[in-house]
Amino acid sequence: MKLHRTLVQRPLVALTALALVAGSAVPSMLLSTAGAAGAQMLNRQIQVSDSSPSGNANFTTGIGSGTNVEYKINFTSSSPATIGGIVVDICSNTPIVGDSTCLAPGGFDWSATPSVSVNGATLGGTWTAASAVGGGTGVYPVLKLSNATPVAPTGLVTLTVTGVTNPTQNVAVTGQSYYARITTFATSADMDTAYPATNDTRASMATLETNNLVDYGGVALSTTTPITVTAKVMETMMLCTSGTVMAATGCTDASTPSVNIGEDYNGTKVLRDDAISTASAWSMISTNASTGYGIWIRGRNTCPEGGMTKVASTNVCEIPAAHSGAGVAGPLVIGRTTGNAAFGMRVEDGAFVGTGIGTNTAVEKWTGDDTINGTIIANTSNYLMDTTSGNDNINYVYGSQVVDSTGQANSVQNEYFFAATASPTTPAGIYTQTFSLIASGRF
Amino acid sequence: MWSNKYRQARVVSWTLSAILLLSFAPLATAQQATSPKYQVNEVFFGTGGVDTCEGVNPAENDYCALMTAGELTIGNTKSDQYQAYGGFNTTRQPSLEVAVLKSDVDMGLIKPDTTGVGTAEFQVKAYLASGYNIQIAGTPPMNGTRSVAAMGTRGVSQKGVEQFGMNLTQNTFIAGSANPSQDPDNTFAFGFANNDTATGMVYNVADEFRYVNGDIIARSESSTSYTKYTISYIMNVSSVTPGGSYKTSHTVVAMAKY
Repeated sequence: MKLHRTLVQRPLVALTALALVAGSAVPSMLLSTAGAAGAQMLNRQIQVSDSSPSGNANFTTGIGSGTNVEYKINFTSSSPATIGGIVVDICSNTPIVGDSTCLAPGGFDWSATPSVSVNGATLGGTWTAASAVGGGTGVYPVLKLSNATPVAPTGLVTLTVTGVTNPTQNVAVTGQSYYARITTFATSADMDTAYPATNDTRASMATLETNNLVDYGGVALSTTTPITVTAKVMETMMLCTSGTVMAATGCTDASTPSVNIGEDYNGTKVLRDDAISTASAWSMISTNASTGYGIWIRGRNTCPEGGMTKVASTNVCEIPAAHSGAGVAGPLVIGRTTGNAAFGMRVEDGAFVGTGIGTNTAVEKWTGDDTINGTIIANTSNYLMDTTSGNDNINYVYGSQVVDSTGQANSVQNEYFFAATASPTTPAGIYTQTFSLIASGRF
Repeated sequence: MWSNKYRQARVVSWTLSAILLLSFAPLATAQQATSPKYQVNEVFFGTGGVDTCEGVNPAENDYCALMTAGELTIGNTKSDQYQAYGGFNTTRQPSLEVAVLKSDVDMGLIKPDTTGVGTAEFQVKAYLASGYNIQIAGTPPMNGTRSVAAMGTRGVSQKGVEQFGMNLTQNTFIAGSANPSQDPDNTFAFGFANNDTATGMVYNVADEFRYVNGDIIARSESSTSYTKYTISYIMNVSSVTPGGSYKTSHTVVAMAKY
């Protein structure tokens, strides 16, 4: 027992004494060693354009892919000496320059032919970039820049490297640290001796010093899992009709689209053979169709005349379509002059109301405009009721297009101008025509 | 008896070897903290200690130990020009750790009369650094080539107006939103949401949002333990925002300053 205690106690005393000696002696030794090792760089920072790990199956390009990443490497030299070689060495385990162990992060690659730009304002000369294998076949974690004519940095040095591949993700963790060791050398030859192209073992600090190490420094970086943000927006379409003009968005003030056309007579409206009566209806459309929309009109009456009928079952329209249903607009003439009743329509371009957005354009034939010598001239006296144009008339299964737009719309309103006249022989009665407006968006 | 003496002799020899390592180890690690004015090295003033971890590779099932027989001081001390960590059991390796804790943000179906919201979380720790900046990288949500309008100027959420923005603070209408939290507490961790009014990169105001690709959204001015950040996203659409699925990928890019 006694012997045991003595043996145990003695080393503690020795330990204490030696530790004190080491504690007092080391600082001076370290100071002198540090002076010969070069100086630590200041203002070291590496900025990357994407911190996602590479090898992400969900993102093969762009943000989130960890590929084609741009690295901006900044540092300020502590030494005023000229430099001809710069190394940026990537390790997964430590940024300590001089440590012989440096594990290449899986997947990291400067590329075999790195693309580097150097800000000439603070580091002049011509710098050539190369990379060295440092962690296995096909992996290039060691970036080397050489300048045949050493120059002295005059401020913050910035190296911009493009086309870099980040380390792949360690699936066990949601983030992953890795490190950069930045070293500068007096000449490119010194650099190549310290970082030979095929030697995976990193040089010790002694070796670096022997090869004219100028400045050094470490930087820590981290990959991170990308954040994925998703949202859904529905395709929308809203079309309403109104018997009165609308002033509010969203069809909130639309009225029943029932139009009475005729001249006032004892509180009612009647068509006359000595007048052209007009009335309007309106539509309003809102849609987020990304490439625009159109509006078609289709008539209910199936009579071949295409106009207004007193009794739908007879399939006769005693007030026929203007101009015999031709697809060309023209002026309506009072029935007493022509002896014919007529019914027509024209449409004007649409505009948004209130805080709405967008416009649309009336299809040319429905505008009533005249074309004289190739020039379009507005004419608000022209009307048509196309019942004959192939695949584009009011009796066609999809109707006739009256409005078109290449953009979206929020509360865009169109006015539809109807006109009619009776003939001296038009039978008395109540005549009707019903139209369906059909909107179709291009999403 | 003989075996006991032998064991004791081995213990003595090991201890002496460790002492030698103590005296020589710092020489192999000449890279220490420096500033333009002076340099602080891993010297130890105390009653003793051992570092057997130099050169040990845990991957090869080696083992090592950090032992101390008393420390005169522990913890971080710093000024504008320097910083140092006292104590024998410190590491000389700078580190930066960034981890995304919650990465999937689904804001659901958004209509002109609703606001899409969602949160993401990440945490940051930096050691032996003068601080860090956290940048956000990525586009606003996109549907093909069409992106939602980003809030380039900080503002409030408006239904019916196409907007995409974010902040790093607790909001009144976003469940799960939170201010940055310090782990273990604010005496060890110092990260904060950016509040740089000079550049407009302000992400710490409740119910106000901004999004500019590349903005610095969070930072620390010193080494720090973990700070957990919660990103609050909002998205509004107008009546003419094209329909479809909108998607984007963001990364938080950490830049430590040394």
